[in-house]
Amino acid sequence: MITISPRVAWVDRGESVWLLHLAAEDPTPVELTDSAASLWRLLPAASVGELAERVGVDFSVPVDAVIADVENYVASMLDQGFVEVA
Amino acid sequence: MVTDSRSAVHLAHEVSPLLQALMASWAEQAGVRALLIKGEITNQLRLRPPRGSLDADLWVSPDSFDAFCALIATRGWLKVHDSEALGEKILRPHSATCRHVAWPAETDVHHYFPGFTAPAQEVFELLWARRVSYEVAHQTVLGVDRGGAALISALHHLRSTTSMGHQNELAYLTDQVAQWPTGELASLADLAAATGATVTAGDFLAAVGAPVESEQTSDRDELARWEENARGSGLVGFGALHAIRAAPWRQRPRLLWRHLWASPEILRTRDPSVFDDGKPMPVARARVRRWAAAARDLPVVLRGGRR
Repeated sequence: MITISPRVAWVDRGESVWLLHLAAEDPTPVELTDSAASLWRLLPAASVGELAERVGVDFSVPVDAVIADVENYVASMLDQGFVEVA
Repeated sequence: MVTDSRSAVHLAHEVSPLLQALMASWAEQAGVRALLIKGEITNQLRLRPPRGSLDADLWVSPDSFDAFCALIATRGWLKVHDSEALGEKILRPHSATCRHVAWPAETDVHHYFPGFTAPAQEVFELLWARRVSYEVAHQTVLGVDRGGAALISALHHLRSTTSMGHQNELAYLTDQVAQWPTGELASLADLAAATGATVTAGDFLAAVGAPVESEQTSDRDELARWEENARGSGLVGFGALHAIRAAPWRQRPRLLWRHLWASPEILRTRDPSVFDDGKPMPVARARVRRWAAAARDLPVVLRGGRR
C-alpha cells in the first residue's frame, strides 16, 4: 500500500500541489506540477502496478509506457519521506 | 528554496497553509501551548471572504513566547525589526514577525492581541480553554474557537478604521456573526467581557446584537493606547509625533531626523509600490511621497488625530 506520510502537510492548488515534510530538518515547500501533481492526487494506491494502471486509464496510455516513470516517482517520493509503502 | 517568476504574494498565498501547519506542529512538539489565529481557520469559519493568507499567525502562551521564538530561530526563522525600530507604534508590540530565507510567507508569533485589555496571560488562558481542532493542509492543528476568531478578526479590523479593505471585511464579518444563534452571541459577549474587549470591540458587538451586560475592568493604559491609535489610524506622521513626544527632549532631534529621512528599508515597507513600478530613483520618490502625505495630514495630526 502506498500512502501519504502522516507527517506531510499538503495543499492542492489546482495547477500544482505543494508538500511540506513537517519532520524534515529544514522544512521547505516542494511543488509538484503536471504529471507529478496528478500522480499525487491518485494516492493512496495498493501498489505501483495499480497506480500505473490508474495513470494509464486517466491519461489513455498503455501501462507499460508509464510503469517505469511511476516506479521512479514512488521511489523519489519515498526517498523524500512524502509517502510510505507498507 | 521557493524562487521563481511568480510574485512573492502569489507564492505566499500558495504555501501559507503549510506554514501554519508547520508552526502548529513545532509548538506541539515543543510542548508549547499555541493557537492558530486568522488565516485558514478564519476562512473555514467563514468569518471573512475566502482569500489566501500571506503569513501564519500563531498565538503562543505569553509565558512561552521567548522560548518559542528562540526555538524557531534555531530553525532559520529570524525576527524582523522594521517599523518598530522607529519607535512610532502607539500600541505596544504584540507579536514578532519572523522570516526564513527559503520561504515566501512570514510567521507572526503573537503573545497578545491589541484590543484585549485584560492581562495577556489571562486572555490566552480563556482562549486556550475554548480551543478547537481544525484541519489545515491535511494536518490537525489547534486554533481559537469561532467566538475567539470573530473577536480577534473584529479587533484586527477595528484597529485600522480608515482602511477600505478592513472596513469591507468588518462588514462581512458583522453580517456573518449577526446570524449566529442567541446563545452563541451571549457567549461572544461573555468572552469580550472576560478579555477586556467590550469597549474596544463595542461597535462590533452592538452591530451583531451580542448583549454586553457585565461591565469589564479594562487596563486604562491599554485602553488609552487603543483609543489614541484609533484617532491616528491612516494619518501619516501621527505615530511619529507620538514617538517624538514620548521621547526624552535630548533624543527628539535625532528621532525627528530619522522620521524625516527614513531608511530605504523603512520606505520600502511603507510604500512598496514605488519600488516595484520599475521607475528610477524609488527611494527619493518614496521619500517625497511620504513628506507630501505627512504635510497633507499635518493639520489633523496636530489637532490630535481622527480625520
